[in-house]
Amino acid sequence: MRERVGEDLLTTLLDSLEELVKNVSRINRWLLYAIYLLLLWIFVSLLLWSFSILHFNVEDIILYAFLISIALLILFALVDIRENLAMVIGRYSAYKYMEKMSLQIPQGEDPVDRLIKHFNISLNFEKELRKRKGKIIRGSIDCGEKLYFDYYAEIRKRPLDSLRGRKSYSLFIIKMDELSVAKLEELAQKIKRCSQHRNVEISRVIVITTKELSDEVYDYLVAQKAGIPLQVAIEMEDGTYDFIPFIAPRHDMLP
Amino acid sequence: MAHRYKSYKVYRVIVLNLLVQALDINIYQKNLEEKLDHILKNADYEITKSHIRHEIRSNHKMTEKVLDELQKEGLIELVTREKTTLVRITKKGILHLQKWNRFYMDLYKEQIIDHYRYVGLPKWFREAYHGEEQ
Repeated sequence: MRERVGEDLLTTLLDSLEELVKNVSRINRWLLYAIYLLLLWIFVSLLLWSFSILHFNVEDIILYAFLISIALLILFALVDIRENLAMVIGRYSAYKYMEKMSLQIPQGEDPVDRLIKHFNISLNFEKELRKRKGKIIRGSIDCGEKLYFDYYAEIRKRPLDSLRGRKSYSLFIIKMDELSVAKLEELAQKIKRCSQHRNVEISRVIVITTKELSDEVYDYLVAQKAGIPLQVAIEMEDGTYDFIPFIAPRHDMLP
Repeated sequence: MAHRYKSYKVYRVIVLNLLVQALDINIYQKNLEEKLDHILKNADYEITKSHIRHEIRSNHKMTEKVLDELQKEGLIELVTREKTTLVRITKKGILHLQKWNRFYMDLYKEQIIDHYRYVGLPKWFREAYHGEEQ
């Protein structure tokens, strides 16, 4: 009962969810161990199945085929459950993030530095990136051709990432003075080509500017016509960011 | 599912109603027009741009657009006081709302209900349907 008592409804609800999320995290860890055990089970069963085929033992062939099918079925179900539980944890983290989020522009040398600082303050971005063996490139990157971005962060997919419900990650940040739909279209095409070449998912593309947007550009952005998660961050004169459209952090708390 | 952006026309209605609510008058009362000059002269409310942005829960660009359109139509006026910008409803704005509010409520009912789904519908929305009884 005590955890449901509080001064304001939203905070109380979020706090009461904390207990639940802790349990979900624990269950998720157990699910991972279960997945590893299942993989071992499948591997051993496959070996035994091969032996039974070599010795043409019909009963064993049927038995191991049955066991492998069941193990595969359970494996897919567990992976799916894990992915969804990870999303539950992530959504909760995003709500917590919203609760303490500040749109104040931090101090920094240039708009890109300031934006990265903003993500570092609110999401621990670069620390999280390093933890996941991600890399940061400032300047030109190899996309089949050399393409220039003011900031590029990338996490490539590793062999076991699919089982852990993790996808690859890429963040592009580009500074622009004047924005137009044509320029954004061109940028989107460039980024699509680049992500295809590097085989990473486009997680977020942020164009940073200090200029106001035209209605045409605004409509293009909010309707997400670029076909990629494109967002403009405007540094306002009042010292705050205006993000158009607002994009919630991913469930792993990366921007 | 992503939350879709609403047209500025919906926000326009929300802003006008917010201002009338701050003025604390029933726009459906009889002989309102005769009383308005006095009411507006003695009005003591402070709705700033930040309040508006908070109410429509959109971005700065949308807030500016809505206020700009309303100002152009003469339904509101912006008063700069020190570092803040106060938003005031005009007589024309109140009479406009008195005439069209129920129509707007019918037209944008779904969007308004969606806008307030996590915080509860505001008083002005409910009053739009029962105003004359008060």
